[in-house]
Amino acid sequence: MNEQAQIHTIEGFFAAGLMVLTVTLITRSSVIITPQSEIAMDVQLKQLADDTLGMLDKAPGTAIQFNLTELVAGWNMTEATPQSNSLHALDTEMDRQLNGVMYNIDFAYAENGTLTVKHAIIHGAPVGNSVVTTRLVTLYNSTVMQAGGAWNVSSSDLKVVEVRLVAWRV
Amino acid sequence: MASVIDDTGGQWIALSGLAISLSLVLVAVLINQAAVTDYYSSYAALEFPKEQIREITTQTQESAKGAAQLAWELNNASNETVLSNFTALLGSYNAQTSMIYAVHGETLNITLVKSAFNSTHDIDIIWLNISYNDGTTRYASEPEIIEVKQ
Repeated sequence: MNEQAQIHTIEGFFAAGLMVLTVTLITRSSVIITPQSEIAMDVQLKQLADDTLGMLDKAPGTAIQFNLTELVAGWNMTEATPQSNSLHALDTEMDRQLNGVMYNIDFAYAENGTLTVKHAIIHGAPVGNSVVTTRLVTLYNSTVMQAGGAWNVSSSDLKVVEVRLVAWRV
Repeated sequence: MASVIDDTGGQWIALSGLAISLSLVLVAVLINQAAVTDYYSSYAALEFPKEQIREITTQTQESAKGAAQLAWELNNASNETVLSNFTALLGSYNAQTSMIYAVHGETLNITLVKSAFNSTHDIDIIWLNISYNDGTTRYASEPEIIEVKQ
């Protein structure tokens, strides 16, 4: 009787068993997260939003016409009216920096002991993967008068306004 | 049966299979580790309030300089009057920023330690204590020294 084929069959089963075991081990132990995962994209978007607000706040007058403080100071205190005041310039600057990114801008400030939040620029409803970045600006009576805004800041006081940028990709 | 036992040619095939399997497992573990590291580094970048801390210090420096100038403009009869105005302005700044940060679930406290004046009652140098806490990260600059006229 030729017994040569039996050892080949046993080898075949053994090899198949090893392969199945390996594939099972790999598939059960791997966490599939690629470098372009959702959270890595969020980090990139957050950095872009931070840099945009920071650049607008700190850029010298030779680089941009109005900085963030001047743009906020010139607001007419009416929500979402970019056509008629400094929000138009703010929207233009943000649009230039955040090319291809959707965004909303809110202003938050303390008033009579409570925090007031006003929607300055609205481009739509943020989606689930939105990021929020903030920047503080300090307004004085002289700043507001110079920018032609409608903020009620006493000549012996200051007002801190938080600019909130909500950004998302579509 | 004896010839089957004596035939050792198949052992090399079995050993090769084992070596390839172990290599695949090693490669899979390495790839997995790299992916998990990427995940945690990205998560840490979002979690750590780097921008908030930078913003607090730079904005406080700017605002303190502006408040010192305004305090002098309001009444520069003496060091005391300027200091009184500046203390009120800094208190207002602290109250407003604390409220804004409290909405984010963060605490922020800015207090005046001392100040130095020049001969025209201008504030030259301000020492402030800044403390920030978001529940995970605590930051304190005690004191934050601000050169007003720089």
